[in-house]
Amino acid sequence: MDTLKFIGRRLIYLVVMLFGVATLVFILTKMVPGDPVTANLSQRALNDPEIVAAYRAKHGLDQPVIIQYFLYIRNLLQFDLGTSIRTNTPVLQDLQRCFPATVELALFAIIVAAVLGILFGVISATHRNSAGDQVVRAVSVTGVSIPSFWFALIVLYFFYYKLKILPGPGRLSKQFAAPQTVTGLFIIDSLLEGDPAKALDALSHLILPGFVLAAFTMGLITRTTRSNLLDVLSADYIRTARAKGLSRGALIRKHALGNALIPVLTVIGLGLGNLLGGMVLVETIFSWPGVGQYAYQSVLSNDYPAIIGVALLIALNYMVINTVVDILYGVIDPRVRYS
Amino acid sequence: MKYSIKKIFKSNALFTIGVIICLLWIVLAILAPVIAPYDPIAQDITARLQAPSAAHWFGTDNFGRDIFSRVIYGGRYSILAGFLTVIIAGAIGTFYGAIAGYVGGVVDNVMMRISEMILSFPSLILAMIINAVMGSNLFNTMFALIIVAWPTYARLMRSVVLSVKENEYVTASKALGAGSFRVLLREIIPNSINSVLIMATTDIGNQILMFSTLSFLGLGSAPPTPEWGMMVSDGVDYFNKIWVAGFPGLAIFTMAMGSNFIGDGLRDLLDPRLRKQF
Repeated sequence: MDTLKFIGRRLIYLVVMLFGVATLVFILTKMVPGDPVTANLSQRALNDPEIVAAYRAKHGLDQPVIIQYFLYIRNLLQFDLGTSIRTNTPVLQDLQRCFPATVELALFAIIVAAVLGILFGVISATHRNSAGDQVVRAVSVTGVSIPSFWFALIVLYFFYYKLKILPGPGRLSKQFAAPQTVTGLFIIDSLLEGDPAKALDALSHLILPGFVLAAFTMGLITRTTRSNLLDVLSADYIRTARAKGLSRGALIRKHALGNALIPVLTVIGLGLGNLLGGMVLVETIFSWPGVGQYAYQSVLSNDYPAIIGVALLIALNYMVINTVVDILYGVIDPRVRYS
Repeated sequence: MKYSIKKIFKSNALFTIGVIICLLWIVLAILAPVIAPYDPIAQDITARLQAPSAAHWFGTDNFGRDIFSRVIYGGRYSILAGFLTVIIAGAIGTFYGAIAGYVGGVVDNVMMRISEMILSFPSLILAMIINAVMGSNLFNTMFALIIVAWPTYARLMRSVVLSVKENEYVTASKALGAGSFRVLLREIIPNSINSVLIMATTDIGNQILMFSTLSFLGLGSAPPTPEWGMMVSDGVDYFNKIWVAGFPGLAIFTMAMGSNFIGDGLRDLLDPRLRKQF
């Protein structure tokens, strides 16, 4: 019962926060200096007062701001994000097209980040202050300090241009046609088509952008794992377990790691949310047709409906992931539920 | 503190390296007019895209400008922007968080929800939107970075204040008749500021990264300003001439890494639990 109450509370909180974010986005767009009419209509259309008036009426711009706000919220509740000025298609449709590419890349990156991050963190904490610890710490600091746009260029230069061992930009090599969309994830869709060669090609295209994207989150996960494991290892129950004669390996595997990894879960969740946002650079450099590239192109062409759509999608993702992590957290660690 | 700083220099090699790297870049940026062998914006089309050599240590870019000179001048923009963003965002966040934590109740709740809304946007996207809305120039880029950065400080400060305000010296100060503002300014903030300072040290690197990322995307300073992020983006078109993007990127990377090393070292120093041996 407690768990259900806890989940219910988190879900209500999610709805309130979503509403707040939608409002924040609305306020941001109202802060735009200049008139959206001048931005969106051609000079010739602007000279015709009738066209301007019709445009204003169509988009509700002739209404007071508060009415505009209610119209905006009503449209959102009906999943109507407006039409993109640049692509001239509904923003929701654009996002549905871009999103799977981003999800595929983000999932690959978060798996890389979590596996390497936890592994490095454990090595670093259990061999504290050794040469290995220093190397791992240097690698994790490298991960959080390397500019991803630069890292992307460097790996492309070496692995694609010089060594020619990994494919460059894009989701598939030229000889393959995109698989029939089922999930939108190329690896899975290619396998569903029964074409393992294509799936492998899609996977190999994920490696460079995936590792570049994973670097930052991997650094964070390494640090969190290390400091939490060190904390847990100095706890009394670990000393007791040691006194009972447990070996070091068993102690870490059976007693310490489980507790130390609970906070790491949050970092992985936050990391996944951030990855979806951090896509802009990596997708732009690797010509990855996802939400990040869409966001960048929309910002460049002042395509406000599209920008709002992307902002809402990413904030929604971030909050949903956070809520899921919070709920998982409460389920795993009962202390959280009662605080 | 003095004693421990000396000790940390001895015991923590990464901290020392961090200090050296950051000081080096700062000195280079300050002394740029003296050190730079060439004018950072002077073009020489006959010498375009030359590989690193004795005449041009870091090579030249597509306008024949000396990349070494541009990199050391570039530090002036990136490092200054990083420091200013952290100082201003840190100050706003510190007061905001301190007030929320100290006053508590509904005020705290509302203040924290507002900051969480900003945090629920990925920082890069939010900074991009603000920049797009306000128009892109150096000042607006920094403004966008500050808007995105302050809530993290507010959250940290609030959590520290929640525990600090329970201390007896706070009660004592109140009993002596000090008003809320005085208690906040004289007792609570000075005793909570350590964690904010540690975070700020690491954050300088992050802000330099964010700043150059926005410049890379064309949302920062205007050409021909020698700004690190923009210089990397100049190199994208000359991808096989790796030095054009390589050296400015290396500058961003090492500066961010240095600030991370310093932050980590300070954290180890101030958190006694982490000093314990396993």
